[in-house]
Amino acid sequence: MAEYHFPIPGSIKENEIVVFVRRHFVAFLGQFLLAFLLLIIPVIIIIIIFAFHFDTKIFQGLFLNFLVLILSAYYLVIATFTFVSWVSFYYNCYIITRTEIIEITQIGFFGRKVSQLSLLRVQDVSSDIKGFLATFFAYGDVLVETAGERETFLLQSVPNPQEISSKIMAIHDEIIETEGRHHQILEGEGVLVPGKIKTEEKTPYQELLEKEKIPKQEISKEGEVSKDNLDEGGEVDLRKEE
Amino acid sequence: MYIFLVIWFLFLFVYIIFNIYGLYRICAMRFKGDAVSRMVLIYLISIFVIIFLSILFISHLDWSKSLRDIFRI
Repeated sequence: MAEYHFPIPGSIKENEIVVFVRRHFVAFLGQFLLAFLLLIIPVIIIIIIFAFHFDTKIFQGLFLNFLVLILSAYYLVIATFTFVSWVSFYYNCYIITRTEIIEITQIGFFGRKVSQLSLLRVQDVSSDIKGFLATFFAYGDVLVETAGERETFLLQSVPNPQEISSKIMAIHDEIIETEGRHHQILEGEGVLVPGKIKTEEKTPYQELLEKEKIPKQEISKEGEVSKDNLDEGGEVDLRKEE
Repeated sequence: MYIFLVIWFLFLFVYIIFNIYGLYRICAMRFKGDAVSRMVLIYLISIFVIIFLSILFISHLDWSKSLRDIFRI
């Protein structure tokens, strides 16, 4: 079954991948601790009942049958919840190729979102490390600002975000240089005023002139109005004198 | 009390079907060299241990009494 229509590890196009990164394991720590807590809560309750000598007669008779069934279902659900949380964490990954950024977001067993962004649309990239854990384990967010409908593209909780952001900008600059679109982009951003920069590029007609040396045609001055007469106005007589 | 046992076995049946399809989808989405195979193995072992222990306890309990007896301590 073809699940992925872009480069992924293990596929034929694997060599096109520049960066392949999953979220840092610390991002899963909260859910893991929650699952662990849910697992040990029934055990703690039973220990408290026996330790403080509460009435243990409730564990005799048919109530015990009920308790076994409920606990069994409870632990099965908790195990599935933990596994689904891990799958959602582990299958969230970011792939940066030579031309695009691909974000795969897994939502449980049966939900998946794949977003692709062309690196040509990237305008600005920034990295962000916030908090004690993020600083200690060196992970954070990379925010990619784009020219398009979706204004920002967020790579969440990735390890070494500064390296990833600088890599994205390096690939973006490489593409721009290759396509020779540097001037167009600077004009579009308002850094350069269109038409004010001299380019060495010649128009096709100029190249033809040089190549074939076509003589320049003299422009007829008949009908021309001089600058001195502009203020005076008047008609321009275009009739030819016989 | 047999009704609760039947409900529990129905829940177990639905749970197993759900997990079979879920694991099939996960294995279809795998990348080469990932840790999914190890985690699937750990998950399967843990749910089989839970089911085994549950069946062990259930087999040692008395299920023949009626629902009224559940409130008698």
